[in-house]
Amino acid sequence: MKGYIGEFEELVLLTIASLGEDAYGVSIQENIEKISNRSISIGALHSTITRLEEKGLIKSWLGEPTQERGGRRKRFFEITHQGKLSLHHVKDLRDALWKLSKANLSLAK
Amino acid sequence: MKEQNIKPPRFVDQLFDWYCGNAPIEDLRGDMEELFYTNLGKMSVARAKLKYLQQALSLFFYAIKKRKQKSAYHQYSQQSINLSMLKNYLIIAFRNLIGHKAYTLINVLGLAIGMASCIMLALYIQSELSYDKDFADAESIHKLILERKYPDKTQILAGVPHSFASVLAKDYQVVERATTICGPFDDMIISYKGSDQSNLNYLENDVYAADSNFFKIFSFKILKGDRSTMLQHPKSMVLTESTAKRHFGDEDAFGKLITMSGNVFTVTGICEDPPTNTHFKFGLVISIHTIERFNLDNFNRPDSYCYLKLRAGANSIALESMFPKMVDSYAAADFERVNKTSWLDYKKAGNGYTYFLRPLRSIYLDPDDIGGMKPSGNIILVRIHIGIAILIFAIACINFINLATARSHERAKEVGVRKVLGSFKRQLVFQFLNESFIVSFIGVGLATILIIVSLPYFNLLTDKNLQLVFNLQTALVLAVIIIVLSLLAGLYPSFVLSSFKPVNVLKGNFTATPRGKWIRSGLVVFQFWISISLVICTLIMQQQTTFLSQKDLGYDREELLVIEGNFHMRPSFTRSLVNEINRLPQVLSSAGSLSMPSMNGIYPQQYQSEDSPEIRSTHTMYIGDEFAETMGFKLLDGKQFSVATNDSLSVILNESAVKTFGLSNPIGKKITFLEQTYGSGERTTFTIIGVIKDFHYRTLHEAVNPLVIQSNEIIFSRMSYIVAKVKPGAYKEAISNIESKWKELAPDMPLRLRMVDGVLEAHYQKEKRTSRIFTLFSSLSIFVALIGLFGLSAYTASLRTKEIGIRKVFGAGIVDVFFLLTSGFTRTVLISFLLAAPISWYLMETWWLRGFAFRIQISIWTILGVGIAALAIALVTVTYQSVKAGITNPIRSLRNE
Repeated sequence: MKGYIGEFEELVLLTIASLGEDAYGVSIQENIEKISNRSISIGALHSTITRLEEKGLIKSWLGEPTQERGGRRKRFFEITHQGKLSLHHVKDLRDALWKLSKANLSLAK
Repeated sequence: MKEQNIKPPRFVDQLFDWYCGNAPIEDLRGDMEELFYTNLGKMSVARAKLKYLQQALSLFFYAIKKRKQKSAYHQYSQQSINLSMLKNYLIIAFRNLIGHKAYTLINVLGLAIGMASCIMLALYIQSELSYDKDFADAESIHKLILERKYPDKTQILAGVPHSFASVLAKDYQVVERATTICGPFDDMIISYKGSDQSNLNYLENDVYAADSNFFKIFSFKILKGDRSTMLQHPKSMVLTESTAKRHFGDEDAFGKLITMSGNVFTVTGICEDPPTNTHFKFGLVISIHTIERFNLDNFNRPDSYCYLKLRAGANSIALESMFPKMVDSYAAADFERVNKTSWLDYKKAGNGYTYFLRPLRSIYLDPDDIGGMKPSGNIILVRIHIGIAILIFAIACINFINLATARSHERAKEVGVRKVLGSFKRQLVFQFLNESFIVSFIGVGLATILIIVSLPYFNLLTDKNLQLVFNLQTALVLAVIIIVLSLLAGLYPSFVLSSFKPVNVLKGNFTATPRGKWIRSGLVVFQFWISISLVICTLIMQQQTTFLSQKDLGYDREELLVIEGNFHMRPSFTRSLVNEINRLPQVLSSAGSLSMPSMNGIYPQQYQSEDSPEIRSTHTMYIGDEFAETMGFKLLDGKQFSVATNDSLSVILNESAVKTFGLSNPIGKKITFLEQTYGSGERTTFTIIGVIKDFHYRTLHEAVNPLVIQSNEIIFSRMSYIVAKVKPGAYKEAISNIESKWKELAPDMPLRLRMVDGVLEAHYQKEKRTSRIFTLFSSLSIFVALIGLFGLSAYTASLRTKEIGIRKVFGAGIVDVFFLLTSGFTRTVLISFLLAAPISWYLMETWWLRGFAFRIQISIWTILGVGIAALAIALVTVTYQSVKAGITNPIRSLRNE
């Protein structure tokens, strides 16, 4: 199914969305580590980012060089419209399934 | 970022850059560095570094993936090669080539000559290695070889007793077929009816006799006749295409009747001429069953060649291991019947027959000369030629490398500008490789033309028929050569050129590094080392071959004619011929003989002298009266055979024989001859009547061994050779007179008359050819090296233009400038010479001269002479540039400061 995204992809997409204008490699990684409390390598992150970019769910551009990072530019990421659609799709699917659940999903006893 | 001076580990960066290749990683490196400095605040430096490495490694697959994507998807990706840049490189390359015509000419010419030499040598080597490889199932065909053991020596023989072929095919499952071929029979007279029904007689050489399996084993093309049966019946004959054409022209030779040795043969087949790259050489093959003795058993006397074809997958070594048993069971009875001695006793005395197999494909280059039909090749020589080809290739490459690095200062600004404009090192390397590719391409193209032009001459020199065939394979080989050449020659310069620091170069304080100079001098030393060694070797070879052709043989070979022919069974004819020739006014003397020095008819026989009981195998000649005088053998003691006496029981010994037999006062002593050839064991006692000075009765590859000379009167005064000593300058008349006398006496026989000088020359053809090939390639190698030196000197001079200008302003003259510029090259050539002299001396001593029993001593003056000549030529080469620099007006070289 086109537009299907995995759990980690979803995580990355939502993190990019949450970071807004400041979404680049290190900030994404740190945020994911902070929120999900799990350690991820830069390699795993960039594989996912590349995949998302190939699917057209995010797009990237290079920032201006700064004095930091040895003058190297940052690559910033942004969710595309397609990306937003995918996120909606996943969310809708989940919501629908939540609603259909016959078991009581409430945590309250 | 608390500590700026702590940096991520450099090796990780390098590793990362390496596997990322052209992938866009600027952002990643930034991310990694940022993380590293963040980590520095959280953990120890070592851990942070480890983490950095982990991060870098975790990006491995990501980077590999990104590397492949060069396309439009990532527009920011850096491509090292694209079409417009390639176009620019080509333009710049051509501008450079055209702008520096002398440089281009030197480069291209050096490469072209070097490559042409290499390719011609390669063709030669390929042809030497291609022998016998084209037969169908060549790998399963083997030749049976005999190692004959005597108490005092062993001998490898190409020929074996003929009966083993049938035994092998019958007794051993793994042998598919076996064939016997016997020959060559030379000087065979063949006759047939011409178109006008008259009888035509011709002399035919290279006649062989074979059984019907011969053409079944060897896949010679059969043009007419049935391959499997054409040699089956006695008196059938197969002609080669060219033999058939020679005798019958366009007429069909098939089915013709040809008379030879009293038999009437029918032509039952016509086959192709044996290709030159086989060890076979025959013009006419008759059925072996025609010859009566081949229908009888023979397991002891080597008389023919035997080839086996083994079944697929058969193990030749396993088969060989069964041969000793085969010899015992077949040869013993035959041996005892003929020799009337016990086979076991004979073996115990240290005699023996060991048979083994040699693969067909290795016969030509076998050091034991087991082909038997043609002079064999020499595997060592083939290897040396391969070596020379590689060295010339290296010399040509070095020219390119040296010139490119030497003139690097000219390209330095370009490199600087390109770098400032964003060129990567990889791109620059590619650019310079591209240039070396263009030069190689032109060079190899020119080399191909050179080869086409010079191949006919090279073929004359090597006595081969080499051709450069243009097909896909050749094109591929040439393409590979071009690529390898451009990489070998271009790689180092392109790395040197592309590694210039733009800041230094553009500031203008760029100087050639001392390291580059060292490498260049080293390479020049290498070039001259190789070329000087080759030249020394060549000179020594030439001296040796000249020595051989001028060596005193112990007899007078000038103005000596020899008639050879199949007339030994007609003593009355030969006697009257000798008398007739003797009567000619141009002839000083003439005599006949069964043996001829350096030709044939000299065999080992067993003798026992009266002074010692030991039986010795000694070479024996059979000569006629006055033969010794005509040849100019020098008598030391006693007398020669003469017409007046019956000499059938007299012998003459040479000095060596007197020594070996231990005779202190030889004249009048007795010596006993033990007949062995026919196995009768008969003993004949001879009286020694004379002693002659040692003369060379074999080629100069062999030392002079003991020799017993018997008179041909013991075998009915038969003669196989007639020699005639001619008055100086009367060759022509003598020859025409002998011809007419011959026509009178033997109208049905063709005459074979040669000059002894020419016969002797022919023995050293191989050495002469090797020496000529060496001469050619050593001159070419030194020429290529000189071309390089010329170019290099030009650039050294141009580098020092200003220096020379200043020196001249301060009063230096042409001579000073000359020494300034030549001292470096002089040193280089001297070092090369010091390296070359011992190497070439050692090579010639251990490899080449060892093969001669009579050889020159290497003269120190030869070697020194080459050194001085090399230095002189090198100086002349650089002089042009030095003098030019010396006479230039300093104003010209200093004005543009």
